[in-house]
Amino acid sequence: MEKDNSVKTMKSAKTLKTAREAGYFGKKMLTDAIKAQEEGHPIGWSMVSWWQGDFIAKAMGMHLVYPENYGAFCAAVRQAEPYLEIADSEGFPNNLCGYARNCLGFAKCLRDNNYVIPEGAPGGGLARPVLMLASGCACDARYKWFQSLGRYLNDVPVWNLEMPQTGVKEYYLPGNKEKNLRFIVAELREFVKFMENLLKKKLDYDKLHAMLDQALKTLNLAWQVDLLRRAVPSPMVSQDFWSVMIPHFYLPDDPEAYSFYERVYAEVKEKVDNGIGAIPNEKYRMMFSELPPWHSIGFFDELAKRYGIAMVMESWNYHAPTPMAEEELHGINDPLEIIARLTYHKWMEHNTVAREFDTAPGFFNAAYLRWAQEYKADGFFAHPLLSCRPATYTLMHTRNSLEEKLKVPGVVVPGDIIDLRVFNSDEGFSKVEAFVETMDHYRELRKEAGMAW
Amino acid sequence: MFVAGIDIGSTITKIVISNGMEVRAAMITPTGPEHRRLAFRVMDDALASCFLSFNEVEYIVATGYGRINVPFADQQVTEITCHMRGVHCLFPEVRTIIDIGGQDSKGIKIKDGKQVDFIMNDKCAAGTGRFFEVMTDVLGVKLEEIGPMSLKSEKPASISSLCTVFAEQEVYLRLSEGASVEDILAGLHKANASRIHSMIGKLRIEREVAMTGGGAKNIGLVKAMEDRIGFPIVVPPEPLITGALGAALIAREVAARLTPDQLREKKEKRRLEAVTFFDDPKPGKERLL
Repeated sequence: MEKDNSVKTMKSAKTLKTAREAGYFGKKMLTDAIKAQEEGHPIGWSMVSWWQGDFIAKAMGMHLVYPENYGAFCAAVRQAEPYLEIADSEGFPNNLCGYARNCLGFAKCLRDNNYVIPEGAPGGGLARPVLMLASGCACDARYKWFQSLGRYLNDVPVWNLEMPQTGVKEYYLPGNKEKNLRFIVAELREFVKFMENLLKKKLDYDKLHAMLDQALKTLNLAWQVDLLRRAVPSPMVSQDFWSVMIPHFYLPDDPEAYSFYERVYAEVKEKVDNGIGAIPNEKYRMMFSELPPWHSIGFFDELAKRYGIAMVMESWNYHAPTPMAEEELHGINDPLEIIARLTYHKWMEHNTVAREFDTAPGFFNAAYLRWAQEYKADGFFAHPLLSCRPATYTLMHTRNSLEEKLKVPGVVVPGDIIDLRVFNSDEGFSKVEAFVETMDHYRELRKEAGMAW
Repeated sequence: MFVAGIDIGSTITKIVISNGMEVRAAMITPTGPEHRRLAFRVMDDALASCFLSFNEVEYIVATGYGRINVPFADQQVTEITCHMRGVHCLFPEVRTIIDIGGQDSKGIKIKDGKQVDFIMNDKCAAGTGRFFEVMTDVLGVKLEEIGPMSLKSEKPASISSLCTVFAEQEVYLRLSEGASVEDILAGLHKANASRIHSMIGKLRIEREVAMTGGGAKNIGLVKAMEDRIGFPIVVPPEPLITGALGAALIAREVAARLTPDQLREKKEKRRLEAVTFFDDPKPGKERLL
């Protein structure tokens, strides 16, 4: 009898047809980069920078791949463990970022194979880069991650893009926004100079502008899909979103991403118009924060099946921001300033809610206070990660804020984005089962308090 | 009306059969590996002890880690809910429950008889019965002795690690340094109380506080917890039984809402059989036990 070497995964079945098609974009990024490399085009490894650096690199003909997305991909197909083990054996502590450890393990394999992608690398692997584009947004570990890659990619420069991540009080200081924008634009100008020197070509600003126009359209459409998700029952759940987000998050400038989102919008709208829920038995509406267990997204399908839980909103950092007001972009012709305004807006837009509720930070925290009301949430699913401080340090605070200010309780189920070894789904089910009764109780409390949901 | 609550914990199984608010039978037995067969035996023994037949029991609620392995139960309810209900019945003034089980520990907040929040330990034996079982092996004392022995300590040993494996090493080290068993036990209780307190503290502890589970039978741990939180803790007369008691209370409430026909229909579908995972009897084959 032949040995079964297939890996048992816990992928989600997803509820949307378009969500099941979205994996195409992740694979496209990887395979396009490999093809581009074969044709002699430059490849960059980029961190998620909330669009701060991506468009510039792409406008200059660089093909980007995203090691964070690659980590999620490897985890989803349950093939991250070998890379994690290599990173462990290289001396990287196992409480470092799972994305970083997956990438470091892969980079070592790449170097050991003379920079030819090893056969069998999940999704075809990451093509060898000429640039590593890092970002100071969100996470301190990311500075060191790309620096550490120098062990394996020692002739590849690292460029780190910065942006100030000011607090709620600072946001309201006079001149704060202008100073922030000036800083980001200055960072981008330096980056452009560096790229022109690296690639020995000039940035085509018109091309960059056109890409931005397309990206803003795509992000706007992604946001409109979010609006549709406020419907009861929820027409789309997190299991769908975590696939559907790939095009708007990584490829918003790609017209194909826009077309895809038109189809997503149509599918979700049809469900809303006909009162069709993503799950057939929606009893509880929960929000998820922050980075999901990519290796076990099917866990949420099981929550839906067992307890009627629809995950109606999730992961602040992956969502398209609300569209910027027209006057925000009126008369702005410098594409670098448009980029600066977009990234700044993404990070600052929830400060108004933060001030209203006297909480902080706007990002990772206040967003959920807004969404709990807009999406009629019954509960908050907190997923702390031993390996990720930024996606964890606000969780208990957010959980407490939601309970105190909006009578929305939270359950804490720890795990990891990549490392399957520290996620216990049975423990998760056990906690959620008990939590259902807590949600019932708080639903009564909200009713007594005359709240809207 | 007779009802039953059965709590299959990771190490101990408990059952309560009650009639109204009167407990007619309560039994405690080690769980072992085969839940289904055990559930049958425990129910059978409990029925015999109060001279009841299975059909006289109107409704059965199973709880605990092994609750899905009680084929004759009418309903499964989480142990958190059942503990809360059991403690609330015994001590209506309690607002915070600390339950120290064999493999896990948890905190439950109660308000007006409702479970408003809870927290459980994650992936670590520290603060659970298993931690103390391992330490008793190392120290060569019986589990039931460690509480009273620790109270004799005058200078608790310093135990900094709460990983069961590393704490075991630390105990060996303290022994090699000449620390007394009493001092080591006191140190272990203190360290665990600190760990449990930091977990339960996330719920914002409110008085009164009750302690349940096997850990509540350990006077050393109860005292260490009282020292840590700064006020007395109430302990039920039999702290192991609160989950099963809560399950029986829920069974009584549910049964009271059902019509006689509904109850009869449920009972007709129920069988008290010694089914097992390992040799599931097929029709016509001889039953186990």
